[in-house]
Amino acid sequence: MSFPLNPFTSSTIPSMKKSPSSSSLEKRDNSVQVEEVDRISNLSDDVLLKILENMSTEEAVQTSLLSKRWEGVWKQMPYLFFDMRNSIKLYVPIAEQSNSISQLITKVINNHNGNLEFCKIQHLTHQTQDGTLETWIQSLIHVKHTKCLALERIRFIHCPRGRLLHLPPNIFSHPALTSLLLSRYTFESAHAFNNCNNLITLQLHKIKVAVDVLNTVIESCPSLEMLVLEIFWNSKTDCLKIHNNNLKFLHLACPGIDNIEVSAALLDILSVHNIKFGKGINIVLDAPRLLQFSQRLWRITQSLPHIVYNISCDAQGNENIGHEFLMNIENYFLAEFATLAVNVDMVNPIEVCILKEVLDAWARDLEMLDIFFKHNDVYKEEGEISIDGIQNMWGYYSFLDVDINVRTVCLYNFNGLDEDQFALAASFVIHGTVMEYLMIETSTLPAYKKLAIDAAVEKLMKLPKGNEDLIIQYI
Amino acid sequence: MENEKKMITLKSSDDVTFEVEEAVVLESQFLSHLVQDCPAPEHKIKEVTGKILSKVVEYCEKHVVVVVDGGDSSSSSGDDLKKWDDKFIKEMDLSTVYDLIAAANYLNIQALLDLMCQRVADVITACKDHKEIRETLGIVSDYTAEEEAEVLKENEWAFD
Repeated sequence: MSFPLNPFTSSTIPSMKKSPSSSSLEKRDNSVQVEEVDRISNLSDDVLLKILENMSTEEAVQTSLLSKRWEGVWKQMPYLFFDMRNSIKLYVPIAEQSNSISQLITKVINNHNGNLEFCKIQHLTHQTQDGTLETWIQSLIHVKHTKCLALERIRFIHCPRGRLLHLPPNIFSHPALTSLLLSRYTFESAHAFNNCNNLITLQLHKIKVAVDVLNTVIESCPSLEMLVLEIFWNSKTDCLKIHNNNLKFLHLACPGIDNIEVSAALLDILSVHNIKFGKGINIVLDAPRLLQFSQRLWRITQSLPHIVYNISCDAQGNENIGHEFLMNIENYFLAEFATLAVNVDMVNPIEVCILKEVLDAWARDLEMLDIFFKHNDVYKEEGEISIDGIQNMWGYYSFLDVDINVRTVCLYNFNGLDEDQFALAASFVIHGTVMEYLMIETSTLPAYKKLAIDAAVEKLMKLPKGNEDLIIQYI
Repeated sequence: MENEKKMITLKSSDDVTFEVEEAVVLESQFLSHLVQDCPAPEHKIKEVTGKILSKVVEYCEKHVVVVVDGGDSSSSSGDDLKKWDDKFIKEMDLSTVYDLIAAANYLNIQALLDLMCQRVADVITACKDHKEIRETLGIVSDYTAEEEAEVLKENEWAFD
């Protein structure tokens, strides 16, 4: 159905103006005489903000020039994103432009007058040296009460070197600030982080910092639930110490630090990149939620990403705070041949859903996938399943509907009688995405359970293999 | 299909009626409350015209998640739905978009509101400058030349 419409005869819904949001708008703006044809300007601020949310910060700020109605709308936006590279003009020396661009950014920050929840600034080296960065941090954290702040020094041709970040004590300590990301700086002192009880998330990307200073930073942030450390620093003797009982997600990429100590009672995800275990690197891990299924990790000696993921969700069904980081494979430089170990309860639909997301994101180039099944103490006697039934089930979960590629899959604590577990195992066989081995661990099981697994493995072997060369065997 | 599905009749401001499944109505927060609080067979929505309500119903029917026997979720997959959304907004003139924004706002259908706002944003960002935006959207500037220069100066960062 299509209706021939003339946008200028629009007034079919005068009654709509009674809706609460537009009436508040009219009160606020009755000084502005907007013509009837200009229906967009009659929308409420909330709706106009929703429209602006689909634009870049530049495009949103540009709407201020449309009319008085629009002048202040962008100033209520919850986020601002500045990238100085977009403002740089060719053929003008960087040093000449840098200062004026940063002053214009300062002006935009000061003009904003709503709740600025998120702000990201990508700046040049000059701003770390001339005090501009400190001014921005002061104004964003202590005046605007920004919740999430991301500051990234970008490399740009003809920019001077200079990544040292000089900041006054306590500058990151403010109850509103919960998330901080810093990229490409050098710290010589930890005092900017004094009293940082407020931080829940801290991401340090490409940071040069001595181990003892880093330890003090981590100690100063006892509430952290998510910590990302990508550190350029070499030390054979110093020990990186992460002792935090709130931590749920830890990403470590610090290839030069030889001794690492992690003690985190609630840690559910440990993601390690660029660290060569077994080549002089010692890691002491005290993470009770990961211990049962992370031992194999340390035997692997390549420096490729290793992820240990105890899948869980809170009472509201929210996934781990670091799940999103993990799902963005671009956070891992050269992510091929990764090793992934997951601990999952196949009876919990949310956990199954999270497992599927993890496989979708990671299983394109997995060297090894270890799946540990939780809660297998409940032993089901009934549950003879036919192959037809299985096919329905893997269709339902469609676990492997993405283009995945795994060399070896190992199943631990596998219960051959559990339909969901069997369906997952069967999908690996049928889809043909496992290149070499499907391994099933039985050595720790009592004899009466082994019988059931034998029967299940026999059934797995009878399934039509998607990959002719697949070998199914016991560990 | 044998399953007895609860049907609900919606009546627009100009008395056009739509018979829809209950699941479709649940896409709207406002309507789900209305249906719960007053179990009448027919609900008059005085704020929305038949023309716009037909679009709302079309959208909600497409987006409702249908679970068919066998556990397979037969709602359109993400890609299909996105394609459908693109087509849905592409054929629409701005006047209808505004009416749908008002209706989605009133009926509290977040996804539809988001989609319509995205559409308006696309129209704005496709314009080369503020003059073209004003022309396209029928916005009349009430700035004096001095005021306009002042706003431009204040927000110079965004204008190259």
